[in-house]
Amino acid sequence: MTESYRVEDLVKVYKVPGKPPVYANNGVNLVVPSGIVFGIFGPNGAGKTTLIRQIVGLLWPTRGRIYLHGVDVVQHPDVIPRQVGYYGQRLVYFWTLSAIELLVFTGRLRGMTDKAAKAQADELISRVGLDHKASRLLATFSGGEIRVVSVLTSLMGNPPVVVLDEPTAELDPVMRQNIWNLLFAVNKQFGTTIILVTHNVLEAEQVVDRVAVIDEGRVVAEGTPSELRASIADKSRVEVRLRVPEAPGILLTGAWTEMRRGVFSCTVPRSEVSSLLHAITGELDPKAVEDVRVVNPTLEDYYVTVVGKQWQ
Amino acid sequence: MAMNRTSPGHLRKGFSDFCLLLKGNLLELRMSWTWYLAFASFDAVMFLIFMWLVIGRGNPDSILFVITGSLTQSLTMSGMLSLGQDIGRMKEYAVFDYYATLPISKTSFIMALVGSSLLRTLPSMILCLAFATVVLNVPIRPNVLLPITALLGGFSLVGIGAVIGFYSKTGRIASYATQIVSPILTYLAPVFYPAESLPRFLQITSRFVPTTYVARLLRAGLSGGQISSNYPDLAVLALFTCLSIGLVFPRLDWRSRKN
Repeated sequence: MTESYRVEDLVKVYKVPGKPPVYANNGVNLVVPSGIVFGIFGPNGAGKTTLIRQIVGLLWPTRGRIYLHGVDVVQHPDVIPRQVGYYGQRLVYFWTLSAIELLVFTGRLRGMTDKAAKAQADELISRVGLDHKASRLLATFSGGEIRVVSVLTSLMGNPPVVVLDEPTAELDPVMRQNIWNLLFAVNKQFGTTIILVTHNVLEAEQVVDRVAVIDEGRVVAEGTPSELRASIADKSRVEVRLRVPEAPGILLTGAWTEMRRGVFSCTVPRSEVSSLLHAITGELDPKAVEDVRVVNPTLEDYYVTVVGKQWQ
Repeated sequence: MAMNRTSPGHLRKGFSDFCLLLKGNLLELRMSWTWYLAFASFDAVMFLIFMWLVIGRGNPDSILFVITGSLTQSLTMSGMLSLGQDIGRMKEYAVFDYYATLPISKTSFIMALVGSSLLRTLPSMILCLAFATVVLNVPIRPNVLLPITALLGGFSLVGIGAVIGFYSKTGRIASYATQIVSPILTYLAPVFYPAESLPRFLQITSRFVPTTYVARLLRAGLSGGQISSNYPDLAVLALFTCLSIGLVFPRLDWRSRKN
């Protein structure tokens, strides 16, 4: 299996005068095989964006090596733009260009002919459902729409690797689904390696082939979603959805967490599920409960187990 | 396989990128070009009138210094101020990351920024000259020396602008830095007044500043001077341009940042 990226012992230290150095990345080791969708998850401040910015050549590592298709890109950073499309967290502000103009502009700078760039721009715009706005200036777009167009710029020219930092942040559910579908299709159609950072673990689970979880600047877990889920397969999550605003005392104990307003969950070993159900049905007023369900572990559960230490 | 930097393919791609980037930069004015023209022209003409009232009234020699000083300042703005500030501003937004992760050369990127800046200066420069000729009755006989000087002058300071832009952490710092450097290059050099008016020390130091030669060549150009009689100044200005581009550009790591 060929590798798109290999990251070895990557360290990035931010030095602030008068303060102790901050290790944003502290010995990251990663291998991203070619042609897969690779998810990078982690809590805020874990060092994901710092890692991403180093692998796309926007930030110099303090120490360590990054190989892109076997080439040491710390030594030869100019190799990266020819092979990697990148979307950062922030919007690309080109207010005076239309969506189609920005995409064609990007494609041309990636070496495409005008005709090929227009054809790909039309197709991408259509796939995310923005065809009706393709010729309008970006100044007239909503923030979410500009974000979508910004994501599309990274796909122009079909680079073999695409790196995306939170591509679905602040998007509505339909737009998010369009982006996931598009990324899935691009990966399957062109064999593009896609590396993406996201907090939306639940949705990303649909498309990622492999995952690395980063916390405090280190990779704390890595594997396929099924491998990671399997590591907590002996656990189940019990969810209780209430009809009433006041939570009964049993749901306020340390083992339970309010996931959303009125929805409480507790992850326990499978062997303890029946006793837990027995306990809560004895305690809860049936009129106050809308739903009780036992859920098999998802990737998000694994993620929470690994990085959400306070939940354990 | 990577293309050699001087191969025809590389040069063709570089030129094509330059044209695209130049167009992209100019399109920034698409929604506000009338306001931009009004602002740039008004600002330039008002400055000219102000200087004329203060030092040049009734004195054709002085008004020539005012006009060429003003033009030199505009060119300096294009080559250095705008470049430093544009790059700094791009860093504030995702625009810089966008460009830095595209397979374009540093030279195409910087040249397009300077090129668009020079083109934006053109209307106000033309208006200044027209105003000086028609309203202030300054006898101006522009010739080919003028565009050559404008081009060399605009690019003679891009190295400084690029260094400020790339190494400033924010757009604001870039703006402050360029505004500190700019007056040194225009007010402590014989740009608005003859070299003899400067203290001895500045007369010596100003020889190492390109604006000195830009102003002198512009004065010669507007007075009908020929290229052949201005070779030494042209050679020095060309040298500044080569140093600016040839020495600074290769050393700039424009994509990656340490912090």
